[in-house]
Amino acid sequence: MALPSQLGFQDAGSPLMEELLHFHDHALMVVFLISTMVLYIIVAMVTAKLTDKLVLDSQEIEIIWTVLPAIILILIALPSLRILYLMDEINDPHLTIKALGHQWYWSYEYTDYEDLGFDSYMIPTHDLTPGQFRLLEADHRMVIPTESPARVLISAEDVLHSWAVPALGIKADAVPGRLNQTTFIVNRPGVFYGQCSEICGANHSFMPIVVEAIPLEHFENWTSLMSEET
Amino acid sequence: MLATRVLRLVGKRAIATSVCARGGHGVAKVEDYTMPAYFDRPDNPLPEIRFVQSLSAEQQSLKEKEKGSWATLSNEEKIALYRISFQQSFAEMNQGSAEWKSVIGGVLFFIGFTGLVVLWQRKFVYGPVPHTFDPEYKQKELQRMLDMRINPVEGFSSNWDYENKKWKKLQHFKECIGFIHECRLNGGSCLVHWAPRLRGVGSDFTTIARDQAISCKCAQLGEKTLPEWAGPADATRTDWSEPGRVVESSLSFFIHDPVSAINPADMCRRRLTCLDLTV
Repeated sequence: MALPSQLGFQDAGSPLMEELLHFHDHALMVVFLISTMVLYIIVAMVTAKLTDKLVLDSQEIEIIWTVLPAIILILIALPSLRILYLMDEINDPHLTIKALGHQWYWSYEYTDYEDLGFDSYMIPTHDLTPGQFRLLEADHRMVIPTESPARVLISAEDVLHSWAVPALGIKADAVPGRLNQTTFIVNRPGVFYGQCSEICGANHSFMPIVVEAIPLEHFENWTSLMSEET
Repeated sequence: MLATRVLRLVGKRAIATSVCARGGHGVAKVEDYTMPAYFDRPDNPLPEIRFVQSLSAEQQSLKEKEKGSWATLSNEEKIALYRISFQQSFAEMNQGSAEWKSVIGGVLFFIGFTGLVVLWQRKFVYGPVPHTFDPEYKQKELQRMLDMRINPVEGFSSNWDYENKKWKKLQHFKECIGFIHECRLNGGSCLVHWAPRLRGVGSDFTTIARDQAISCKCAQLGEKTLPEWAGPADATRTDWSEPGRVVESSLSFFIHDPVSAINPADMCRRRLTCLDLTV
């Protein structure tokens, strides 16, 4: 989860998010370098006492400030495209889950297991037990096994929603009448929080997503328990 | 003849200055920018015309004297000649004003006024914050975040020493230096990433690390087992678990077994493998 007034990313829970973190570091460094240089030039221009009125053109600097940005853009584009294609690599998910957005809750269907499905509503603030996170906790978490490629098929039953878990680097729109697929692997056990990311009405801010990653043997326990309950 | 003189005057005025007749309200004088004009500019030091166009008798005699040797001119005369040609000296035209004080004053005033508005709003407009902001609740939240290992790699939980139950000072100093030393002994190299969020880092570590000229990114995740559930009562413990026994059983693996799924040394070496820099 994010801390209050946190600016940076959360720690990555999936390899893809790690890649995104590193790429962000790289791109942000480029941005900072350029901004610092521009700020320096602005200050130098503003505080200069003398003016050269006879500057007309300069081929050398024009070449430099065309070629250098092109190189910088390539250096940003290459890692970016690499990650883009990495996201779409063919993988063989061990598990498929459907996440369906409703107004205003998520429902998860584990059709790999017979008839395992449940709704996930936000726990209202007045119902929180001490220590639970306000506006983030849900009554039923989407549980997945760690270190297993998982596929989530995301759709919606009424209006647009968006299923997002920042720590895993996932966001996909839930469009009614459409299936969007996202695949991921969770590196470490833990609980990962996200919130609906497409305006969907009055309680758009109150339909969080909670993904809980547990080791496989415990996951099997959970599926049998949940199947019994539902 | 009178008419031609009048016409000539009008003509002259028409050339020298434009006259703008606005529907019955009179005339407004408009500058004709095609005519030579006086200006004071630091980047254009020589104006088109002299500042004082019509010289007094004294100034005229001074101008005559200027045609001779300049050594005979006194300082006051030189200054007078300068002031005939120019309105301001460079020092005068380049000097700043005290306007910035008024600007800063105005800005601070409005910031202060905004502060007053905000204070008024807080007292009279906003309702109370949710109960989750109470210090006791925050304390429980904090403990829960640590127990859940929120952001254990570089973030929140990575700054907590689970063994000694306090916030870390020097993070993994011994492990890092040992690892670095091991790398160097074996003739390999080691990429070290310096995490900026270390608390109370002593200068010795910095010096040592810099001298070694390496960086070590060790993602240490909860090396030992979870601490005893001291404090939270059983009631609270079940709050941690969800309705259902699943999470309790999954958390129990945290409690009773070492965190085998997240071996810190493996994590560290795995990252370094990706960078092709393992020993």
